[in-house]
Amino acid sequence: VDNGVQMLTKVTAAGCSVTALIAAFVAAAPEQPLEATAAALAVFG
Amino acid sequence: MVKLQPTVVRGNASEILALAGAAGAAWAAAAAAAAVAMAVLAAVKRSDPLNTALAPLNRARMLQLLVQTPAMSQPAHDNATLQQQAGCVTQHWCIIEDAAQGPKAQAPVSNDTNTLRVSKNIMCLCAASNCSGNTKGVDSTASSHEALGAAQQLARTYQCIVAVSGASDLVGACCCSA
Repeated sequence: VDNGVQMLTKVTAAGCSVTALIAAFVAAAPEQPLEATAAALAVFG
Repeated sequence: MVKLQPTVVRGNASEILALAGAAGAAWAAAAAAAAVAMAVLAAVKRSDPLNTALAPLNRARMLQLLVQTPAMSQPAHDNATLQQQAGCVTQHWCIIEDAAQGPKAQAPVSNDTNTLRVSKNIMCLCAASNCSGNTKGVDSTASSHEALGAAQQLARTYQCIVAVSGASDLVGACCCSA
């Protein structure tokens, strides 16, 4: 997923936030965890 | 991690390298951060969204506490600082456990609670590990692509999805990467 922003890697708690977003996406689509994870990362940037 | 059976393991490149054992004990703090991420995702996996021991409010509270965990935002440069931070994380996990149990605190221990307790044990192990050297908190010093091999190893070992977050994100399952 190549739509990220370099600056976001310097932002505190960005990793935790994307983890929570992945969890939410996977919880919403538990049968498609791979697609859900990719979608969450795409949304987060 | 085998017991947790995570659905997704998320970490930046350094965390994934640490979890795969490719960077040594000096990266235990980063591994701890990734372990927390993995544990929450494992808890989600073990919970039926419609019929779960974790009420939706409690799960939201759990995620909120995780995001607010202050130890993750502070770099650890020595063993004492690292242990102090890990202790702080452990303390948060105690709060998370309380939130997870909620009104069912007197009820038999659920699988979800077991998951959280295993997670806390992981944090304790990180705190007890002899960490020193160039620890740099949760900031990655490697690019996502440098962790590709480690991510594939994790996916094979734990049969889970591995996400490496960074300027470019990698997502893969088993031996495949996307």
